[in-house]
Amino acid sequence: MSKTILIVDDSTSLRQVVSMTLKSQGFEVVEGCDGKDALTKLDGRKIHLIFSDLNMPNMDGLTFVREVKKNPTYKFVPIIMLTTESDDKLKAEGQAAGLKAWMVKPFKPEQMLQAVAKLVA
Amino acid sequence: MSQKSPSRGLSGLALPMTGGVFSLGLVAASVAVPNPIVSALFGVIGVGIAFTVGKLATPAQSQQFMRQAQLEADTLAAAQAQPVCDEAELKELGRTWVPTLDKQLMTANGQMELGICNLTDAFGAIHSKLNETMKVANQAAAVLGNSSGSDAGLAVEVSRSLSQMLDAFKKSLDDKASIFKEVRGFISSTDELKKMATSVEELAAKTNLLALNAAIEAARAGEEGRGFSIVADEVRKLSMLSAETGLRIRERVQDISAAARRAGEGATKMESSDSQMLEHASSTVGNVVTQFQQVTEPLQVASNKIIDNTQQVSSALNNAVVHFQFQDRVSQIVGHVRESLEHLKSQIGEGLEGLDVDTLMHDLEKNYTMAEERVNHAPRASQATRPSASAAVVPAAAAASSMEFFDDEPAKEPAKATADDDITFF
Repeated sequence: MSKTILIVDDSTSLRQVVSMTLKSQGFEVVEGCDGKDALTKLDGRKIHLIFSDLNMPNMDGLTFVREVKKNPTYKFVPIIMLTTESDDKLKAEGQAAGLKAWMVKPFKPEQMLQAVAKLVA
Repeated sequence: MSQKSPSRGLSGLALPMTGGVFSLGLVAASVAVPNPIVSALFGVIGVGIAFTVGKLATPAQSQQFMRQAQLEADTLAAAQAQPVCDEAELKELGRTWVPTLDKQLMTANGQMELGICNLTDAFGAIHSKLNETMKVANQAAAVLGNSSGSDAGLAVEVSRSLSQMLDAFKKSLDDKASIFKEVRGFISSTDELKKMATSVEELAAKTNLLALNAAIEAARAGEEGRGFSIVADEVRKLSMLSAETGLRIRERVQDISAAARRAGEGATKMESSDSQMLEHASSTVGNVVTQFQQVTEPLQVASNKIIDNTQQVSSALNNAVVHFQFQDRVSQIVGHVRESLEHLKSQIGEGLEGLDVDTLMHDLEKNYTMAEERVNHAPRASQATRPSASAAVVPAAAAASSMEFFDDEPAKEPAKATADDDITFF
């Protein structure tokens, strides 16, 4: 059975690009257009990995990560921050919030798939 | 935009030429220069010049000096004579020009995002079709077999099946040949039967002759030979019956022998025809296999080429789509510019007093997320040098690694790259 990955980003085109990269490798993809919308996708379905943007309307990436970590069903789902931001202070905040990795856009597909392979057993 | 209150700059310095040197500073100070600091500065300069000229120079020297001063002042005035907005116009700028720019940026950004989304959709559809094509081509290649010959392809399979069929046919003919051999053996057996039947007839004839002699001898013996005469009679009857039986056997054997001979002749003809048929079948099968290979080999090559090309196109397509990420980056930069425009609008809404470039630049910089934005950020006034054109195309992750993995336990400092410089794992 294929693994499901949640992509959270306010950019439709970015979601499409990530989605294409993951689907081409047989993953199923669920999309959320911001943190708030993404929380509604955590409705009991099995999610194996989450990619989240940092700066988004309604709910930013760090708040979203903290909310996920409060959810007993999804608290152990690995989360990768996929953002244009590369500030060390923000990375430290992300790490403290429970992130598994920090990936700076634009991503390289092979690196993304490597990261997915590392975090999705 | 209409030109309002243009600065006359130092052109006012022409007046003291006729009105006396002390009036220079006063006129200069009263020139309608919008910036009071500049106006005051002109006044100070004018007073200084008047004092110097009045105290040290002769009237002729003074006139020459004044002409020179006027010339320089006119040159400076020409450079300074730019249209300057008044406060009302500045507010109008904030009310119309800034929102217009904002809308244009929003429209451009929206159109670009829509275009990129449509392109990504279209590329996605092409990618999906390519995957289907590759699946079908792979199936075809699996059926046709590998052109390198390492796998059993369709042509090899067909050749093998036809060879098996030929072998079965040949075995059937061999079985038939062994039956024909039995038939030939049977023909030779009927010849022997025929001889045996003739022998029976001969024996019956001899027995009959013997019984006849016995009857003659019994008649000669008279009354004593009466019993023997009866026996001789019976023997003669039996010999006649044997002769008839021998005759019937011979006739039947002749019929069977004729039939067996005909069967043998038919078998010989059939053997010859079977042999020709087998030869023809072998040749036909060989031709069919060759023709089939002539068809399937180009198909194998074509299907392998389709797979290779499809994989390359699919990979190129994936790479192309990945480049669409630029839209997200451009969108963010435009977003930051729009936000800054909004700040500018709010500042100039309060008039000149509200304008605070430092805050504007600081707020703009605060929103940056990308290395390019930070590189592009202009230093204030005459500080340092302006960013070069190449700054605008600095790679995104020039200043930092693009991916890091982190350990499970949060650390005070972000963990450094564990696998390579492109990812941070926590």
